[in-house]
Amino acid sequence: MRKRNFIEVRNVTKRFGRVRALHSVDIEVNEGEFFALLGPSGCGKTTLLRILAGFESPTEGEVFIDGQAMSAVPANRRPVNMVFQNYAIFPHLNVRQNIAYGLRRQRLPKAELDAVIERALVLIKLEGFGERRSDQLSGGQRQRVALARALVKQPKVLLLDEPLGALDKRLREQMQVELRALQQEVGVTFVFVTHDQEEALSMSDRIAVLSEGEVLQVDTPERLYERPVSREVADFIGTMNFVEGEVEGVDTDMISVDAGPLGRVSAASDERTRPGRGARVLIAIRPEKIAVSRERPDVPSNLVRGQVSAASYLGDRSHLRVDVPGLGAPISVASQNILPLLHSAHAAESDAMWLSWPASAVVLLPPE
Amino acid sequence: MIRRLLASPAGAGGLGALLLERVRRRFLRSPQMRGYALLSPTLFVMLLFLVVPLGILFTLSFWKQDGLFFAPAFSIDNYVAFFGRIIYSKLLATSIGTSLCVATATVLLAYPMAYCLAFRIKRAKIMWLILITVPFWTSFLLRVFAWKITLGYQGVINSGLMTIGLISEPLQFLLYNRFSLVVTLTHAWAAFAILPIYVSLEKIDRSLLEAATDLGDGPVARFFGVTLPLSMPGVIAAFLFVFIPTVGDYVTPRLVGGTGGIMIGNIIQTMFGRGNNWPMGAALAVISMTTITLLVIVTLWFIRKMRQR
Repeated sequence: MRKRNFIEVRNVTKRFGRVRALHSVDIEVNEGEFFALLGPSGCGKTTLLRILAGFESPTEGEVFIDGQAMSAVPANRRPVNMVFQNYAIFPHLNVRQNIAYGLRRQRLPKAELDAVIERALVLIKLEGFGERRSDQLSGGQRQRVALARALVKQPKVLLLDEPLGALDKRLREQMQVELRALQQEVGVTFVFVTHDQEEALSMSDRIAVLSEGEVLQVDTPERLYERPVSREVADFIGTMNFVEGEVEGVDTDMISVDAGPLGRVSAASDERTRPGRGARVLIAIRPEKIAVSRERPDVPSNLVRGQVSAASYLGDRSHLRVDVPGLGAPISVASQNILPLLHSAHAAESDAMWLSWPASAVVLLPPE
Repeated sequence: MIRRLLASPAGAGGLGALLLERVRRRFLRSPQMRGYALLSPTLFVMLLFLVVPLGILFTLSFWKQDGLFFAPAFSIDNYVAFFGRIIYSKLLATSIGTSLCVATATVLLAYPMAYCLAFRIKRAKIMWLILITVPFWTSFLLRVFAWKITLGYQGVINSGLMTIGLISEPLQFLLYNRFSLVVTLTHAWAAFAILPIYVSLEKIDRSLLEAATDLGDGPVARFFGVTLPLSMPGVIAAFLFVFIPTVGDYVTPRLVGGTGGIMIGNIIQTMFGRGNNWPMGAALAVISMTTITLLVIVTLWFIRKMRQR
């Protein structure tokens, strides 16, 4: 049975002199979870990771790992291991010695130690590389050695500090898949810091979005993308169209909003967003949820006519910017190019088009 | 340029200029050549003041002293004399032994200072670095005399100990022996050892230290597992910086070494001075130089082998 709240970050605040890096952060991570700390640089995500590792101590608050308070446990005795951003492979040791470094204290018999290292080399697909030194390894290989070195310690939690940041795009995508597979295989709880939202979405079970030292939202990738709780989260993850409006009516499963130039917008209501009648709200719609058509679709609401001001063709999809009269900013639309566009009459600049979207695609956020 | 010269009627001057241009271009184009060109002033000085005197010394060592003059005939008598009298090789051995002591003591004392400078001092590092070089603002001889005053029969230590009544008469073993020699030289070389060790410690990526901690190392295990191995280049450099010049030192042994602290340098100096046997002095110099070179080469080779393991 996997334990819930395997890692508990309780009310952690960290100040460096006058600079506040973290402000009363509360996060729970379950056992075996792939958990991402996502945010722009300077948001405090690395500080939080270093607090988990024990390299920094919180100014206030406490961290529990597997029920044990960590404040009195020094970094070298914590049941966690870390994969550093630059991998920190010891340059004076070869791959084998690097992997064995954390096991020295256990004084294993040589045969057993060799077996552990050999298994680790197989796990990271570097059989036969045991005698190499770090300067004879590529970036991806170094990263895998750093992983193996941390995993042979059998930590309760593996911390990863932007582990894919130093790799080129293609290798990064490959490593995303491999890292995820590895995590499933070893079943260790991973806490993973990244500023790359796509990376976080594709790899994690759950994501904590941080900004300026505060946690904005902790959720699964799907919910984070489909149901962000604030404009900041919605803006940071993917692209979002925002229009202000006022709630006109609240039904059991539907909320209708007067959105000015956009007409009446109906939104599927969920348990979290139940604004009252007359409340100001921010309507948020993802570009790919909006359908484009020349003819007026046969729907009563969630419909607007606009003029295409910019169209860019990206192969699998096209991005359009549509000016709607009375609206400050153009609406971004991403449409999948499922049918070949070559001979069809697809949207081009200065075309007038109808935009429509389902009620389930509308997210209501608190106003600014 | 070349094309224009080729197009012009090929006069002798034109051809000469063309050749010169070609040579110039070749020289400037090759990065190696440019490197040598940049080095050339230094290289010239080195050739003139290092290689030439060494050549003279080497030649002289095969000559013989004939009263006031040299007998410029090839003979290996000086080398035979070296191996014939055990006193020479004994002296060379004790010189090397003393230098090993000095180098070891200097590195052992310099390491903590360099470590502190690299890891503990966060602000005003440059000020501390300058402070370390402060003793060098005075002359070497003054520093040696300062030790003479400190360690002497009526020196600071003896009079101090007598004042507080720990001893009734001055300690004799403080000055004019190998001990005072090692103390004085260790102090004299300190900065030369601190700086290379400091540089190698400063270069260590701090995340490597965190990685060692993360993998379970306490401060001591981390020091021997990561910090020390990664600072070895600095330690070796510091050791050699101190060891090599100490073997040939003759001023310090003369001033604080007494009779027990005589080194090979003193004998060489005597040969060129009162002894009036320059060829013998040259032979002794060549032998000690060769011995040190061989020692260093063997040590470095050994270290390299150890590293590869």
